[in-house]
Amino acid sequence: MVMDDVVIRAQAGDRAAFEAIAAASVHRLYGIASRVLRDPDAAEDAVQDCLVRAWRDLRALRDPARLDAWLYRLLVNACRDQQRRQPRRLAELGPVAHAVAAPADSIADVDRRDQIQRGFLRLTAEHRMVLVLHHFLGLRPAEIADLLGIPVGTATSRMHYGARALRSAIEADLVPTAVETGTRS
Amino acid sequence: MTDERTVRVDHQAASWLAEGPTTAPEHLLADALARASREPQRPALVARALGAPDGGRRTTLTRQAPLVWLAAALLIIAGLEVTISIVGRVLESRVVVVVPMPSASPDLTARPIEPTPKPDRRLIFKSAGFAITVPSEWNVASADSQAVTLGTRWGLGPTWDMTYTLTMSITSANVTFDDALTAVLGGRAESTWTPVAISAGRAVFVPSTSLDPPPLVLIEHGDRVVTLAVRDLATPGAGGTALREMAASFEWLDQPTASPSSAPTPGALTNTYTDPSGFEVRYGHQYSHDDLTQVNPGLVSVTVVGTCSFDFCPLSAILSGGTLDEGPVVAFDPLRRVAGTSLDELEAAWVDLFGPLTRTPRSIMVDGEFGRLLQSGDSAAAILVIHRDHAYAFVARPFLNFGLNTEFLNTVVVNFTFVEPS
Repeated sequence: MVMDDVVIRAQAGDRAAFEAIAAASVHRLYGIASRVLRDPDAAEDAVQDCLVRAWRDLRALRDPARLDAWLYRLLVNACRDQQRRQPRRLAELGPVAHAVAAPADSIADVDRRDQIQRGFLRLTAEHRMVLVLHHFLGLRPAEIADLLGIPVGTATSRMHYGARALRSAIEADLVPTAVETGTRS
Repeated sequence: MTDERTVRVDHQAASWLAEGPTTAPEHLLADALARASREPQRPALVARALGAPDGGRRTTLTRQAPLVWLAAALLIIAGLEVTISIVGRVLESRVVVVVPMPSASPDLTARPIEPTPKPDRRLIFKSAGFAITVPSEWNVASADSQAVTLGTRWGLGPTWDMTYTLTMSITSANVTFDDALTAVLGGRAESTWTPVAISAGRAVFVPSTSLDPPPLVLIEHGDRVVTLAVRDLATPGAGGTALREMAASFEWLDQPTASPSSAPTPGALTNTYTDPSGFEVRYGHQYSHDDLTQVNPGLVSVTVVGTCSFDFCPLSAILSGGTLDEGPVVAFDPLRRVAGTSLDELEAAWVDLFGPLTRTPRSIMVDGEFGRLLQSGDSAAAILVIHRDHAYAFVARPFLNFGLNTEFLNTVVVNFTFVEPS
């Protein structure tokens, strides 16, 4: 495999080989990060962190054929870090530029997207990643589990949980529940 | 929500998730490579040891690797603990003084006892009716009915390298725990408290960042209430952990007398969970402080505090997904009921289900049984408890904007009481 050879060369310290890997991956990684984080700046930071860690720790990769899966796992970690650094700011942001509704969209559509975004931003990076891999890359739970190195049941559980959270967010926006108002005294 | 509406919402969510850019900004690759050029590559072993994924498929070996590192770390820590403990016993330079407050009035009417503490515990206080012991590593300088002087344990504990002066007050028999708690909370700007797991009875920690009023712990034992309060510390707020640890370490040698607050409250436990073996747990929800103690005279008694709205459900329902109408905060389910199952095995099962631990497991005490608080990411936390030949997992999942409420999980679980089937 050509790419396997490139990975092996990069693991040996060949920076040109790593540049080839990064160039082949950066658009896909950014596409995922921007959907997971819903913030262009945070997505750029996450991809940069991911690629820097990839270079630094590339020798930890046992199987060059699993480079993509390895990069996705680094990206999950980088997105989680971004989420921790800027949880407030991300939660308060409005729709990102690419998600702004087209002029022809109805007000109801805009509201619905806003509700979905609010629900999505409440999820953890791990849950978001599973949803994005499924809906953006079209991967099935078994493939997601294999990519992320988690049990299939966990991938399935995260998908179900994420979908349910999005539905709940919409419902919560429509009808405030007693649960939301409960606090410890 | 109807099925048709659910499908429509799911479709909209899927479309929204698919929207977005497919190319990265032009400068991103150059910026990333510029940053990478300043970083050296790590050796594989070092990178993996520092948490880098290895990119291999999941195998038993790779899953056990963290355990190998954990075992090595525990060995090192144990060695350090022994060394420092020896040095500490030589120095014995830190002292805590515990002095009864003027209001202290030990119950003199209770039956006399002759306490015989276990070899690993030390008697620090004895009245006509009861006695209190602490772990033997606490250095006791003096102890009588008026004052108890303790030396701190010298070790790697997070707070025991400080010196505390504490006051201890023991109420008379006619003051209930609830009345004491109400009185304590009444003089504070913030009426907050958290439960403390103790071997018998119940205890709560009331925080404070000043000495007026001070941080304190209330401990209930039968019809008595013991108050431990920080009396002298430069940063009183820092004494909370030590107070809680001290409270959890107390042991009474007498049998508690009946407490008015432990009387059954009929009808409060409205839900029942029965596991395959017939073991039964009863619980309720929508509790408030008025429901501070709920006791089921049957197989299991449950005490739940707080006013959070919550519900319990089988863990399997969460894992299968989609079967719960409204988001549960806490799930309850026996993970396994195989005799001899260890907490380590349960922890391994947990990691399989929810991913690697993201905080150091913490030991807790649930009704006299050792449990373990685990957390994986921001998505799941659990308290695992083994009771006889059953193992139980109390699992918290994030719910809407509440996030992962491990404090509440702890509040619920430490108040469970397992009662042996009759």
